[in-house]
Amino acid sequence: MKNEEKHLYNLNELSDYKVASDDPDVRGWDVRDADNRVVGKVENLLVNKNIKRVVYLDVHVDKTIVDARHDPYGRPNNIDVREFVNKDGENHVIIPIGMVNLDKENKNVLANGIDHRTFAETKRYAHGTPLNRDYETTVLRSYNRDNPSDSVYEDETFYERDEFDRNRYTNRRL
Amino acid sequence: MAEIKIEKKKPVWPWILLILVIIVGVYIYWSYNDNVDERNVDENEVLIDTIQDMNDDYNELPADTLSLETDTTTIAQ
Repeated sequence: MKNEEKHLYNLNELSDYKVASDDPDVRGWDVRDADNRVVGKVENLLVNKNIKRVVYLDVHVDKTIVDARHDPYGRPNNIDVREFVNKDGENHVIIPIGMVNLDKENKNVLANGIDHRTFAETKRYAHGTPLNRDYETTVLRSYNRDNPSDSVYEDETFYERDEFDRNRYTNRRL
Repeated sequence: MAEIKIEKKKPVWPWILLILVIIVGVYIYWSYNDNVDERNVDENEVLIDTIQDMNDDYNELPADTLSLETDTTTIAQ
């Protein structure tokens, strides 16, 4: 996956940035689905420097997700199947920050609106692979399959989507 | 609410600079004190050496010179 302009950085690679002192660093926390099943662990935080916020959690998915062997949701008809299925070694997935709640007491990330099957059907990537906007859009479409967004966002305003703001996303789902 | 902000780390170099300044200050202070002690020691050694030399000179005088002086003293009285 190639990037024309890098808009996502792994926090680890930004040596002059850190998680704000008022906010929790969720790296290492378990991620739980809508049924409270552990689906993975937060390995990294993907940040956008312009808005100075974490926009995605980079999750190393649990073996149960990989073993489910579901085809990714939203596979385009005109694309080679081998290019799109989750391959061996692709065991990371991103979750927009606005789609989760943080259980600070038990150190859990709660993805209340995403069930195990949806996680298993979401396109994954191999650790270290650069992410591009196409992948982000595919993932968001998978998570929002039952509740797609009506709004159209340009590249510059991409992170103003509801999926990156917990309050707006919750209101959209109600 | 899930929002995680990021912030710039505070630079470390002012602290490193401060520590270096303190280390240099302590070094200069101790080296100055060492020089003062050495000078004091030197002055004392010179004094001791001078006294020692005078004693040596005195002891090397012939015995009759010493008694002559005594006699002279006696005569003067």
